[in-house]
Amino acid sequence: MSRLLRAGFSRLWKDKGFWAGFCFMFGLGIFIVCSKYHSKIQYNELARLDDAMFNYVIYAGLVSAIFCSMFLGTEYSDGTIRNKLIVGHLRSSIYLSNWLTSLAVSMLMVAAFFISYGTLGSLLLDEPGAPLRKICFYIFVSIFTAASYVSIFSMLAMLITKKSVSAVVGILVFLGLLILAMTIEARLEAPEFISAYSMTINGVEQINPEPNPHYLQPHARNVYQAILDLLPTGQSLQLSRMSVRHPFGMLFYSAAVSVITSVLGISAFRRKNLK
Amino acid sequence: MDYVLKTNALSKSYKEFKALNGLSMNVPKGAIYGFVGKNGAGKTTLIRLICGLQEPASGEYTLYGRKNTDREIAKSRRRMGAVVESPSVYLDMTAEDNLKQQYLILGLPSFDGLADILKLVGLEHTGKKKAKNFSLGMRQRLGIAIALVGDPDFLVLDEPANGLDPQGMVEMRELILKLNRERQITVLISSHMLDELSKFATHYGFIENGTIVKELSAEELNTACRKCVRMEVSDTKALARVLDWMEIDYKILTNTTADVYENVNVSRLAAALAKEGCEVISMKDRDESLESYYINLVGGGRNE
Repeated sequence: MSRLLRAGFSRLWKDKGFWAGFCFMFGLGIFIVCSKYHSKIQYNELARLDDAMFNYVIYAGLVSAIFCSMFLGTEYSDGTIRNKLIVGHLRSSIYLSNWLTSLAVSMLMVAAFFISYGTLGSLLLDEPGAPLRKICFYIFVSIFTAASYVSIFSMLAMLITKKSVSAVVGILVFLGLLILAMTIEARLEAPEFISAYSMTINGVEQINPEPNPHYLQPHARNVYQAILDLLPTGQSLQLSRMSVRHPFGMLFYSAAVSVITSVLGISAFRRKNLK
Repeated sequence: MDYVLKTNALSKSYKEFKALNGLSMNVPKGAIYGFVGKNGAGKTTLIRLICGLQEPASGEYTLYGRKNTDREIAKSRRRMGAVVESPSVYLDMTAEDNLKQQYLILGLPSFDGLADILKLVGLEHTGKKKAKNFSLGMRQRLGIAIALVGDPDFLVLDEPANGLDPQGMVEMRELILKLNRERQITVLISSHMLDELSKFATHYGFIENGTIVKELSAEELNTACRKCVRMEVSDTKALARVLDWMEIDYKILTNTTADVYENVNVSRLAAALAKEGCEVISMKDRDESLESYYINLVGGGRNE
């Protein structure tokens, strides 16, 4: 597999998609710092370094969806995956080498973001609010989240032989997962009681709050929270707001998503008829 | 005889369609094996199977003595190179970068010989031109160049002349002959361009409806396609005696028919046969081309 990895990385350095993604993530770091700094100056509000530090994770998911379908899809569109099989490389090795290359790309893009955000942010933004240890742990969690994105989109790219279809499906899956996570998060954040107001001759009066029918009961709440922790998009939303409820659970779920999608992907790829 | 590839009752289906139906064939070492069949006969399916792109539904094949079910089949595959359907090249890379990719995929320690391969296929002057800007012929040659990385002993080419102009076809033929003669590479080449194939193939396998209907050497095919006179006589034993005496090449087909492979003086022959008490019933000129041989073999329109 080391040969396939060497070939993959050799191709990577010449791939425009990789450099576009790398520059995007680098630029994203600069953009977020500048917009926070602008708010700080204009509204004289506190802009802590860690306020928007994890906004990148959601973008890392979108970039992974596009990159995996384009980079891995080229092997199908140009037919070059056949060159690997014909000379005797195992399908599992081909799959894993592509997954590892995509994973490395994702890590490089995360690094690109932190280089620009960290450097510029430390100059322009205020001291972080959270302790350094917590920030470091969240960085670790976010890297696992990025890895789970790569695993899902690598699987799709390796199983869908049409590059354009793979790109569209990847983006749609990402958007679907994001909408699902936002819906779940909205349900979890629904208040237990709804305050009602009444207009009387004495003016606006607050009447007794009523129970919210959409408020999740403890059992359902646990299930919704577990799904939110499981979904990479759910993890991304929690990280971006620095409101992670179960960081160790998220680490476990990210690892599980990566392993399960890779096992399923390898199993399906081994049985796939290639042209 | 040593065989590079032997297949035994290979079958492959796509839903209801049986692409291969118990196909058995043998590719001798050192041969240029012309794999002939019309579109949809199963040529590409067989090539996909032996290249490991797909698995057979039943049957087996042996590549350099290793069965396809053998865990070590990968070692045999390392001795082969292939161009299946369209050339497998990164369109956004130069010819040199494409070859470098294959060197890395094979794990070769250096890029030694890269320039020689490019020169061999006539792409040494392409420089920084990307493969997407190559002509179809150039891409075909680049595909072959990639297949040649690692000095394979067995080259599989699927319709390499497709879409080439006459000059490109000549160049392709010369390249294949050169590889076979100078590097002793065994070549399996699928095609439906029979006349082109007949210029360099040493063995043929005719495929129809997923089955090999005939496998023969070029000599056997030439004999079958030789210009001749088909004679119907009352006694071919008497005919044989006369033709032996006249030193004329022939082949007895049945008790009453024979093919005579030279221009004969009909009066002399008839007189000699009369002396032997043999009657000449009919004589017909036969000049079977490779195409007509193939059409006779696969049944022509019957199979359409």
